[in-house]
Amino acid sequence: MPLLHALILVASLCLTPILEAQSDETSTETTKDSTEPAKPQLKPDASPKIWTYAAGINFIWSRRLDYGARYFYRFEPEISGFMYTALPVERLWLRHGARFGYSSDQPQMPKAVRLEETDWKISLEEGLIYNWFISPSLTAGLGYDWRTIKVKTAAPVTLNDSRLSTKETFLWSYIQVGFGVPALAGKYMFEPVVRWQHLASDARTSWAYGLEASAAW
Amino acid sequence: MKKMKSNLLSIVTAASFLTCACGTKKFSMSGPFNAVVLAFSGTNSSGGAEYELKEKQFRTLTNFNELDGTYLTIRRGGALTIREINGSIVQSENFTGGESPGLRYNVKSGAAIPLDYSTLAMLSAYYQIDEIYSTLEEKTGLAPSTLQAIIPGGKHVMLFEPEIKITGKGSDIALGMKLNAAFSPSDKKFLLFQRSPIENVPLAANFQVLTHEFGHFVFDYSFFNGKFEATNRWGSEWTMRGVNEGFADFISWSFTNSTDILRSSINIKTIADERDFGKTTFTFEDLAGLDPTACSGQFYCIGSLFARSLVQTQTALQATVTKKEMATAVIDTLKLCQADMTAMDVAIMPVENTNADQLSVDAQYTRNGQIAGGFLRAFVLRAPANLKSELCTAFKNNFGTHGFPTVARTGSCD
Repeated sequence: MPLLHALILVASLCLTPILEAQSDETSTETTKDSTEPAKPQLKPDASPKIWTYAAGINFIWSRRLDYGARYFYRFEPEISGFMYTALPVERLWLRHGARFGYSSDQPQMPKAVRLEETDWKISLEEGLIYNWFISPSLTAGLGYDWRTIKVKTAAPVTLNDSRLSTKETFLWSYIQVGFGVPALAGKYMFEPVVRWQHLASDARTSWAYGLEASAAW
Repeated sequence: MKKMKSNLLSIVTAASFLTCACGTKKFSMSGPFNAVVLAFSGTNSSGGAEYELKEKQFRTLTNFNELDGTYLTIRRGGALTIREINGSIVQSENFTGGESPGLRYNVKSGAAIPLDYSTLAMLSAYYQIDEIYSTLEEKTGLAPSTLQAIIPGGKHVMLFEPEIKITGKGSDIALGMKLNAAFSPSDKKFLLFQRSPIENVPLAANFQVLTHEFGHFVFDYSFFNGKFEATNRWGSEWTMRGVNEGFADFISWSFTNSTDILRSSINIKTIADERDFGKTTFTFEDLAGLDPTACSGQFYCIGSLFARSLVQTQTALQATVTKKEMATAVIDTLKLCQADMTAMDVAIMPVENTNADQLSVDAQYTRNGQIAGGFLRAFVLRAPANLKSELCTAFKNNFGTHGFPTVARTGSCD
């Protein structure tokens, strides 16, 4: 029963006029004919601004080939910023984004020999999002990954070659599909995402799965 | 207009990223290849093994990116179905799949520098076998080509963390096994299971462990004459499985001078102490009963007694018998044992009993002791004359009258 109450609460938040399209044409139409229903917009207030902004955090796990036949799901949290632009097609928006990610999650390794990888990532992206009760999106991004590799040893292993601790940098590109669930009249968006990504010179990673939460203003 | 400006900004940003100096330098030529690997560097004054991360040269590797060489090729992953697993011996049934290693490294000053742990582990594992074959004749008197002749396809396949299933009655059960390295005698493959966070030196790079696994291969060559069959009685007898483990420990000692096979990887005192055949003092008598006082009553306890006996023999005769000569003598002696054991009088060697595990604990203990005695008799009778006396002393001390009964001693170690 508590689960049913929670589902009813979430549904009631989503079924209010969630998104109202904002564009010069829309404002003009509203002025000309006040009996036409309000069109959805990506933020709750009636500001005539063209751009809408949002910021969020992304809890994402990259599926990475680990060792042998197994995979390691690496936690790679990100923070993101978005700008939304309305398109001439109803309910369709462009979402311009920037991401910054960090990860120091490590797979299982023995105690006496460890090669620990730490990644810093940034990217710029362009996406299409359809404004509805469930907001599907398709995004393409391009960025960079800076990686440091640090070797750590413990007895009975001695490190006699410092070249193992090093750095790598490579191009990061991705295609992402999301299914956003807007809440509180569009002020917040919770978006499960599936991402196919490519790290140049590191073929271990391809798919990633996550949940993005953003707030708009 | 604003839309055009944002599109232009995106294109310019993308173009700037495309000018990155990405990609890593790879080996594209033939060997010999150098790489930074985890390698055994010797034993310290208290007998503990030491390891180092250092640049080493591969002497038998011909294709670096595929980790393929004269005596070994490495396959990552794949699916392995096994019938049985006994300690570090597996009876494999089928292997499918297996990918190329997918190494990630940079080349600096002519050496490959691994860029992730998996690459370091695979390169290190290859290096251990490379080192074994490169020093095989020096340590054991065996020429690499002699062993190579009994390997299907002429080279070992080493499987890196394959998915493992064990065949049941009409179904396969997936195993999530960790922390083991194994040898499959039917197809001469080496298996490296998943690593574990309780490991110190990874088993994949533990020279002591890999020389132990290689020792199973040499036992296969010598005792089974390179023709191991799953139906072979001696492959399934509890005692002889133990002897196989002990011989593998002895071969590891021949390469490393260490009797403490496991401690550098698994520093859990009870486990490591039990497998350090140089420090344990239990005898066959201590393996009696439902709850033996030593060594958990496992079959590899027999192995510890056998390995200890061989090392004690060489130590006593070191002024006249080198470690290499001892290894050569043991290998040559084992070649002759199986036939003698099969033909041995039932008064000394019990007949085969496929339901031996149904016997009472005491009956099993007695039977295992008789089989051990029959083997030791065959071994002593075929050993070089200069080793017999010390071998008899060591076998009597370690196996006692239950593991080396009087009837087996008569005419061999009177």
